Amino acid sequence: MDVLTFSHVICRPTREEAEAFAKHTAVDNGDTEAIDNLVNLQFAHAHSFPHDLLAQIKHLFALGHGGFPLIGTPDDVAAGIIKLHATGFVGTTLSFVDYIKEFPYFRDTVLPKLKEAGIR
Amino acid sequence: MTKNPMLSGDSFRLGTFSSNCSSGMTPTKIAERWDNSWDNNLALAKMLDDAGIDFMLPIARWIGYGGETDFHGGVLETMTWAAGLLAATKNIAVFATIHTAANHPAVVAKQIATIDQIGHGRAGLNIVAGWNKPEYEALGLTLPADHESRYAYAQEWFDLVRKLWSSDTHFDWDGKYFTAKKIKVTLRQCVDRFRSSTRQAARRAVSLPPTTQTFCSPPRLIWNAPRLRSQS
Repeated sequence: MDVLTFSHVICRPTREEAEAFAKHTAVDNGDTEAIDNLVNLQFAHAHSFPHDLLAQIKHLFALGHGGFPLIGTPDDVAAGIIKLHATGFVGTTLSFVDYIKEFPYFRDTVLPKLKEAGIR
Repeated sequence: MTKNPMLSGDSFRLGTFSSNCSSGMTPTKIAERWDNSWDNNLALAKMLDDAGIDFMLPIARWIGYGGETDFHGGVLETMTWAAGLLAATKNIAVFATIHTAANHPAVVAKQIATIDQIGHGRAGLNIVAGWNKPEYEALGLTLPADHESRYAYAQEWFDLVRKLWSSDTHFDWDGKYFTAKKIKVTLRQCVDRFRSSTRQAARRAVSLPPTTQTFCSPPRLIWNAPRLRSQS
């Protein structure tokens, strides 16, 4: 059976910029009430998560609805996608904070690396 | 007939998720969070199509998650969204996401057969069996507590859709959840495509457990796995 997964992309020229934007969206300005509601609904029957695991889950939901984080430079993001491919997934969805503003940088910098790696 | 990128080639599939939803996938308060307007979705679709991206997958959502931004409180309906995007693009596959409990299978069978013509073979269907109880309550629907019931319902829903896609004669359906009398809703082109993609599936030796249909429709189909099974 073919299985795809889902990922969230923050791709910037430097890792510092990517991580700063991730902090800006998900840590400093996360809609915490919406995130709590989202996570509580997803895990309505799972109250036994260790606290640190729940915090990690909430952080991933704040970033990209729980998607696999592809955050960093074009090399980092390409390496993450190549890793998903190596794991056995046949594809992944992508989300961006602002799809239109951010996709062109991904297109111009990450897609050629995937082609070079032979997976696209 | 255009090639459906989800059905051809072996490259690692890439597509966007949730661009039809307010704030996309990120429940953030920043001002530059995603504006999911139709115009933005159309611009994105053309950009993705030109770049050779394989697909666009939407989320179906009927109420938001609250908070200051009411995350996912404003969501474009996915069947009409897909129809518009398929008309405006050339190569990319576009999915509709459908709650089985909120949509009659005959209506969906015909909608998908229609948008598949609009996209010349590039339509896809993402089937969701339900997990979000407040949303079901908002629609006046009952969400069964156990996954077996949800998936039994969804399975019969899809069995009927598939029969509608593949039958070129009228038939009766007397199931546990659905009944139909002398029904035949699908279009000739759809029947042909269903048969051809079923053969294609067989060629790819896709072997599936009976309750996780992933691949055998006119469009590429995603069967949303019982994602919460392990937590119930």
